[in-house]
Amino acid sequence: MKSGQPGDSKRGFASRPIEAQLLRLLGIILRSPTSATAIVSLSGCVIFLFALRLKQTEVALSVLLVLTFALGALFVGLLMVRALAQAGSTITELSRRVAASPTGEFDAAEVQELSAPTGFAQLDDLLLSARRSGAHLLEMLAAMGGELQDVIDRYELLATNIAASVVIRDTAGKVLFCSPYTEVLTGCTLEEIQDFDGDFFESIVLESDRDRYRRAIAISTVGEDIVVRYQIRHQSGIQLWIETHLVPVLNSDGEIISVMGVSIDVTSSVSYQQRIEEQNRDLNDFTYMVSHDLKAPIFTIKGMASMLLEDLPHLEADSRESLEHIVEAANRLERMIKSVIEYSSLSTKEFREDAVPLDSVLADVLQDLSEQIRESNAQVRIEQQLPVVLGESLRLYQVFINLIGNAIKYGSSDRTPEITIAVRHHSSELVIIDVRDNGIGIPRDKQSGVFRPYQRAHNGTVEGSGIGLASVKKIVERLGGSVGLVSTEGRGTVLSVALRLAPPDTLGDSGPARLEQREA
Amino acid sequence: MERPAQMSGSCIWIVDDNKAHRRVIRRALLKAGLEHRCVEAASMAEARAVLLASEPPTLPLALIIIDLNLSDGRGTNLVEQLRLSDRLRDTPILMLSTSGLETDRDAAIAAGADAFLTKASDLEQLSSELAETCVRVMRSRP
Repeated sequence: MKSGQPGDSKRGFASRPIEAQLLRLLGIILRSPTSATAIVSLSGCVIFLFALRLKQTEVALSVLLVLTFALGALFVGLLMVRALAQAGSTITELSRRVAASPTGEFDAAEVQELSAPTGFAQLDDLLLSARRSGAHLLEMLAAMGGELQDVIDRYELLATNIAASVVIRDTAGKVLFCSPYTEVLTGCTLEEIQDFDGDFFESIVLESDRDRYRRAIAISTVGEDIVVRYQIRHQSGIQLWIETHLVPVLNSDGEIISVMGVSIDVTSSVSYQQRIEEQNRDLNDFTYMVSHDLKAPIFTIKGMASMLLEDLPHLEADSRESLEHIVEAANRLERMIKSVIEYSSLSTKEFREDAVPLDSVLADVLQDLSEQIRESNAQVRIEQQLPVVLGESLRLYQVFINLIGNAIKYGSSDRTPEITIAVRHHSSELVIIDVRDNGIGIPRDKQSGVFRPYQRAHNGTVEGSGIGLASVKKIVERLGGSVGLVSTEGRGTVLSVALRLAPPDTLGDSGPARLEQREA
Repeated sequence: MERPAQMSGSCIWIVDDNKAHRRVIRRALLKAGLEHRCVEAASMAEARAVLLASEPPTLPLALIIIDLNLSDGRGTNLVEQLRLSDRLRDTPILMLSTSGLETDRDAAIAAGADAFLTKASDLEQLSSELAETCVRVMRSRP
């Protein structure tokens, strides 16, 4: 307030140089509240002394009064200046520390010591709240800094220790980031990879796989995810199978800014796969051998026995029975071989995935089992409409003819066989179908083996191939489902199959082809 | 069972390395009413030596039955070689095998056989299938 006054007087006397100089000096003096008050007090003292000498008591008293006010004002002014300076330095220090402490290494308690109370309640309140806000801000920063550090630590841990090479390239193919494992995968240093002129990986991909690799890169740069398998030549000279998942990285506008490739060494799984394929080929060869070479002697045995039976019409009953036993044994052997071939073909043959209405599959099954149903006097009931599932109608037919055939075959002799087919659980993707019977059930200790080939729960008592339920399991699992069993000996069995539902848009396929297929 | 009477006076060749099988096939042919003279060969080499010789066999050929797996090679190779001969291009050829594998059936037809039959182990069944197939094959090959 006081600093404004000299400016005003300066404008009025500016034309007179000496007076102007004096006024400027006065202005400088008056600008400082302390010196201004001091001058006012000094002048007051002088006037007071003059007044005393001149015995002007009234004047002297007035001056003394003014002087006391001036000194009081001086004292208050000094205190305020000090308090403001303190508050200012506290706030400066707070902001300095806030700015300097992004990692949270700041002790919030220190803020408390930054300033002593000023003695002015409002200013102290202001300072206190500033201090609290500052401390709170610092705590938040410390927490954020800590979290950030955790994220950085985790990222570093991941990038350095993951057994996968992560390479991020811009759309022009320049390497932006390359994880340390890339060195292990390729045998080259990160510098060599990053400084390589062109696509480093393409340079180590085997010639035979290079086109496939290039196609995958091209596809990823137009925004498609793609997984590609190819062989590379490691720096050491050995060849490795690599699987790379290429993921385009988009900015907020949806533009591709880079492509991230995550590569892993799949050499062992590829060799495992090759071994499995080899074993499959062996199995196919074995099946072929069985179907040709083991059947040939049966053809001879049965053919010769039949010829003898024809040629010797007057053979003794005993001898005829012996020949018939030979024919029967050969028949049995033939059925067993057929079942071996059928079962092994379930592992190797490709399965189609059509939309198959189970209602019509069940209708075929019940029709083909009608004779057994009639003979056993069984009551077969389908509780509700069955859904359309994914699979091959012939295979699904095999599943249900085995399940329902078993239910009839293992019926209890002291009650009417009751067989119920019901939908138990129906989700958007899976359906579980129960085939429930009131038959003889399966002993607890035999239950775990019923889905394994040639493990028969009632060996010798009922005629069977020994692969019925094993085939059911194999087929259902190859169709992406699963099988289940709940059985109580003497009470009955529930066999369940979970099958994948056909998507709604594929309904109605492949229905009519089913019967012909089965008969073919 | 239809009896293919027009084939009398000609012969049927049976190429199979298993002697017992040749006997069963002969019996099945007889039961099927195909009362021809049967000529047997135990290997591809034996069959080739006579069938592809410059001097043709004395009796006209009504039918050649060839087993799929022979001791000296695949029967399909023999079918292919026979089909290259002008004399045998149109002779009915029937392939037999103990297996009923689709791949075998396809290979037989691709090699030039007119039909493929599984060696049904039941004599009755084999003879009725032979009768039916032979009639069909004879009609399609004038």
